[in-house]
Amino acid sequence: MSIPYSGTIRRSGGVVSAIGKQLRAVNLKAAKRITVKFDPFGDNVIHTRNFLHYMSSPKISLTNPNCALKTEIVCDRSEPTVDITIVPSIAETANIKKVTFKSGNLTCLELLQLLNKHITPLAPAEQISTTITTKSEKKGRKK
Amino acid sequence: MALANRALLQTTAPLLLSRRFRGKINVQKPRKPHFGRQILIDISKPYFGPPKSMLPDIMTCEKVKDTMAKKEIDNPFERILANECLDWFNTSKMVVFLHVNSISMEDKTPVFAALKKNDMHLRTYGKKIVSMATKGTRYDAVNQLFTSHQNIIFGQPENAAKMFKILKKTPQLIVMAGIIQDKLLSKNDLVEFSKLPSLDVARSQLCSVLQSAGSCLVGQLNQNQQMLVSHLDKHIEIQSSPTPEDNKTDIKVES
Repeated sequence: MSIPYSGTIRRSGGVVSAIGKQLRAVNLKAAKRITVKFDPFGDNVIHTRNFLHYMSSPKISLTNPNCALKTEIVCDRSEPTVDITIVPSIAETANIKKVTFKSGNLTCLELLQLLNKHITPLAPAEQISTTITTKSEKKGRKK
Repeated sequence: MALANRALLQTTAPLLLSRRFRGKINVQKPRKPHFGRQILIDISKPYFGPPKSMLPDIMTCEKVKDTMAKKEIDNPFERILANECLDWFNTSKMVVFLHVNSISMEDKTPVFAALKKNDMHLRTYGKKIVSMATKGTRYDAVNQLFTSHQNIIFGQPENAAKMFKILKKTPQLIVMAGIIQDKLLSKNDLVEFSKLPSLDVARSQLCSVLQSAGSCLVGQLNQNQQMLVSHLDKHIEIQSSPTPEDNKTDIKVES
């Protein structure tokens, strides 16, 4: 007598591959400015600093070259935060001007997941235009 | 044929003894082995411990493997690096800790070169090495900063302003905190320190402040006499200049 199969067929690759998956999905087209603020001597800033390190990579900044990443170091034992200002044209349609993550108790993976939940969907859809013109059409146009 | 072979080297044919030819192999009743052979067999027998079901529960725990395997192995190279790190900490009067964002060596090398020209050294040490170097010393508080990617700049306090100027151009290197002359400073304190004038200028300012107290008192004491002298000078001027008001000034001087 056999028990029907239960459990996962595929094993997860761990936290690192989950972070990688989220990073591949990140699109910052809707963000105008990202400000990361933390106190370096705080206890809970590891994940904020790691998040900052990932955000500063060239691949992610290529998704939106106009988005500025700014870091603020504070010395008043305040909680670490990530402030994202939305591009005004998208802010009007979506009614969101600014998104703030209070990252004191969030892990790096959770921060990226939240980013993909709130910021990435606001990015304008890319319009792929493929126009194939034949030689005769091109000749006609030139004339 | 044989005659020809006699000229070549002759090899003796090997002695062949037959043990078994197409016979059945005896497994059921093997004969007793020789004493020496029996000793070797007994020595090489495998030993299996008691079955897991009979063992007490303590011995069947699987977590022991993880805890036992993480024994710290003493790595002499790490010790050497930790000593080097501690030397750097002790010899440089200014130590600045930077948070490093994603930066390529192509962008980092000009910063490294610019800092080197100004007698400052940008170095990278890992968390483990720094904790080995600073545990127990007076630099222990620094370990809290080493959680993500970081670099350290070792230098002298005179070059603090230049350091900030160089780092302004690279937004990927972020100043977190610093140690100046055995005092741990936050980022804002470091910026203020860099804006201070040099030590000689500060000393001269202090001297002038100390002197100002005495000179202020002297000035206040002399104020009345000086006012009287200046008034008298004015009177003399008015008197000496030829004007129709000479009579009036004469009367004033007499009174």
